[in-house]
This record gives sequence, C-alpha cells and structure tokens, in this order.
Amino acid sequence: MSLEFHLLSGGSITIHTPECPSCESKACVKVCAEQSPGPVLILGEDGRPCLKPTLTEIKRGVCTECLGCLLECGIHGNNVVRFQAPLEGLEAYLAEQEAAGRIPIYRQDAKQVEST
Amino acid sequence: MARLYEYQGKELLRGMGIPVPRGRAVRDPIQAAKIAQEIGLPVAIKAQVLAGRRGKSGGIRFATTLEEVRMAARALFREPLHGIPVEAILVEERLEIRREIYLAVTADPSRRQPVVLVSLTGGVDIEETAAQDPRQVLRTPVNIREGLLDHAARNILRKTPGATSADILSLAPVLCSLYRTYRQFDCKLVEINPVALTSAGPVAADARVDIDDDAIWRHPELGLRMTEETGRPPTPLEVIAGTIDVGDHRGTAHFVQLDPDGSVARELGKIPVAFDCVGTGASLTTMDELVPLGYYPVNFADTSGNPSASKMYRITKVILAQPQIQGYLFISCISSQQLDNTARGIVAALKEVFPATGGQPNIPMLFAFRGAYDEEAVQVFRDHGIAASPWVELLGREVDERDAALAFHKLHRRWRDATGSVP
Repeated sequence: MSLEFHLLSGGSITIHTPECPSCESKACVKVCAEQSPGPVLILGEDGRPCLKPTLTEIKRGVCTECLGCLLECGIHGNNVVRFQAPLEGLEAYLAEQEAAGRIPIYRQDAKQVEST
Repeated sequence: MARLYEYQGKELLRGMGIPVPRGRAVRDPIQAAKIAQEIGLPVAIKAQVLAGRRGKSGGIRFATTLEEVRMAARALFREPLHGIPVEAILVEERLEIRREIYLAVTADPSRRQPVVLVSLTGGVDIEETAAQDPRQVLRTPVNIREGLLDHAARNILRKTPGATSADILSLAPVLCSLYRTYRQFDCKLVEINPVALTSAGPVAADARVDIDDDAIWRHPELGLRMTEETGRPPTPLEVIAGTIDVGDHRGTAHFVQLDPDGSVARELGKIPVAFDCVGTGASLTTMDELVPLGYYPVNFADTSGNPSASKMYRITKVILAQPQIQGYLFISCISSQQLDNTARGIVAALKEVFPATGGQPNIPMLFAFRGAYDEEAVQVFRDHGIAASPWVELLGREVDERDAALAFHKLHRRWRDATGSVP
C-alpha cells in the first residue's frame, strides 16, 4: 500500500508506507510540520504518515511542494518517498541530443560510470 | 511564442471579417507552384519569418509564371532571412495597390489603455515616416469600456491628415474589426502595414499579430506555446521550460537560451556556463562580471517570486540539459524568497541527474544564497552531502555579484587544473 497525492504543479508524491512503521526518524512528518500554511503529512496511529488535508485541497495548492519529505526521508528515513514531476518533452530532447552526439555533461559521466 | 506568422495573422483577420489576399502557406517549391496555379498568376511569394523589413531584405518576391514561382520559392528556402531559416512561405495573389495605409491597435502603457494608430502613408517606411514627421501617424486612445464603434472609427479617420470621404467610409469597418481582433485575442499589437487600397476595397496586404504572453492559455485555438518572447522561434528547451509555469502560479521560472549551440561562446573564445538567478538585476550584474573573466552564460534564467521547490527542481533539470555547459552558477538577489525551498528543489534535481555521486556534480557549480532562509539553504546542501563536493562552492549574503563571479572563476580554474578539462 502506498500513499499518493497529486500536486498543483502537475506532479505527484508517492510514499511506500509499509516501510514507514520501522522508521525511527519520521523525518517526513517533522519537516512537513515546519511548512506554512501547515502540515500536509501527519503521523497516523499506525506509525505511518497520513494526509491532514483532503486530496482536493492538496491538488489546489495546500501542499507547497517544498520536497522536504522526499529529501529528508532519503537521508534520515527509509528512502520510500518518490516524486514524479512531468517535464513534457525533456526525455525526448535529451535522446535527440544524445543521438546527435551532444550529450549533457552529467549523462556523459553516468555513461562512464556505467561502463566501468 | 506570442507573435504569429503573417499567414497565421491573416487567417485571424479573415475570421474577423477583414479582407486578405487569397493564398496559402507552403513548405516546398512544388506546393508553391500548385497554390499559384490554383489562385492564378501573378503571385507574391513571402518568406514566413518573425522579422520585419522582409521586402527590403529579399524576403518578398513576385512571379508571373509557374517557373518563376518555383525559382523564387527555392531561393527563399535556401537562404536564411536575418539569420532565421525559412521553413514556410506564403503564396498569395498579387494585389493591384492604389495606395498603402497603416492601421494598428496596440497597448499604451503610459495611458494604460489601447491606442489606435492610423497613417495614410503606410508601407515599408512607416517607421521613418513616424520618426521624421510624427503628425503623419495619428494616435488615438480608446476607452476600453466603450470599445471602438463605427462612428468613433470614422471620427478617428476624419482627423487623419489627408483622409478623403472614400477613405473614411472604406477603412472604418476595417479599423473596428482590427480593434475587435485586438480585444478578442488579448493582443499586444495588431498591425496591418499596409492596408492595400484596391479597386475591390481595402485588403490586408500584411499582418502582424502579437498575443500577450500571459494570455496564451486563454487561446488554445491558436495553438501557441508558452515561451519567453525572444523575437525568434523558441528552442526545444525553451518550449519545455515554458510548460513549468502553466499549471502552477507560485513563483516564476523564466528561461531563455542566449547561445543554444554554444557557437557564440566558441566564437568569442569564452567558456560556456549555465546560469540561474533570483531577480533579473542580480542576474544581469553577475553576467556582466562573468564575461570579462572569460565565461559566457549560455542561458538566462530567473526563478523568483518564491517558486515552489518542485518548480526549482524542474527548471534546474532544464538548465542542466544544455549539452555544452562547463559550469553552473546560481545567485539570488537579497530577496524575501524562501531560499531553503529553492535549495531543496536544486538538490532534488542534482541527486537525480548525478545519481552515482548522490548529487555531487562533475562540473564546477557555485551557489550564492542571499536572502530569506539563506543559512538554511546552505544547510540543505550540507545535509545532503553536496557541499562536500570539491566542485561545489556555497556562498551567503556576505558576497556581492563580483565576489560570486570571482569565486566561480577560482573554482573553475581549480576544476580545470584537476580534471584536465579543456574549455
């Protein structure tokens, strides 16, 4: 079971909550509590994060999309938060550039890493 | 892009009841000849580029035979016009023009209302005419609540130097339709130069239509893309960046490529670097400091108005997708923007594009956080291990734009010496 909510920007946050009870930090909830106009994520009785506002309220912009949950869970929690942010056309653009030999410098690095 | 091509502008005018020449836009010489045959010779063949003075630059040709049509079309497609490749040409009937009139509706920022411009000496030299003898171009503000009714249009034309009764009667309906076009499509400028007075009445021989960028979303029927106004067709990355603000009003992410293929930097012998800034003033000042040090910002970006971290994440990915960059510099003006959120967005993007190193980049990157929550922003970089990278420099509000540029220069030299990267 995952907790998923859609954002005003068109992206979404997904939290793989079965991993959450074992998390000692509850970092996602803590960082969210610091955000104005108030938390989106609160701690449920089962030790998993749950939503305070409704999905509709979040979609209308209650979540400030600070990405604190994503980053804090990554280093203090179980790294179970995922952020999907569509950027229409970027992957196709990068593929075209790559085919033409114009590879972004960070992808060049990734290729070197992969080949070793 | 908010400026329409001539053929698109003419379609819009035709839909609003303004007569335009018969014709069609095509993308190859064979089609050009086919259209010319359909509408009948002689024809005008006009390069469709977003630039003025096409006639004087060889972008408009005339043909009396189908062979001439093909030759003219081939010539137009072969050579860029004002440096812009010609991807389409408009083939249309050649008008028998008795006189040329200038009509336009635009916004007057000082009055904060639309203004109608009329001159009976329209044509290619209208700018010179207006500069040499401003009285030749009559400017009349329009009360936006009243609009432009037929009697008001006639009164405007009556005051235009040299207007005859026939001019007034034939041009008033065109002027009213032009004003309706301006309002209905949220234009910044609608211009017909010239309105050709022919035996059949007035015809729009050219059309310039600029839509207000901020209103593009209200006109999906126009098929325009949300990009910055640059005076040239948008690059693919600019089109992608243009989608970032579409559904999210919180802050802005402006992105313009100044040197899309790195050729300008190469020509000048400069090092191409990517750039992002909070505030255009700080942005321009920093760019001015970077250039004499040997760097060339290949893009302009302004992420201000307190954008969400997710917006920062997106624009950072776009900025870093520029293939030719050999460095990246972010600087904020002293602003009220919540910079810890800004930092989170950048860090999330870095972790994604540099997964093997947990977000530590392989090119020199300088971040100058100056303003609200700037210390927290720096802490975000520390918490995620990116500050520990030898190629990352983090600065705070103690530095000015020159300090930041010099620090970037020092970092870049260190990176170059250590990695052997040749700019």
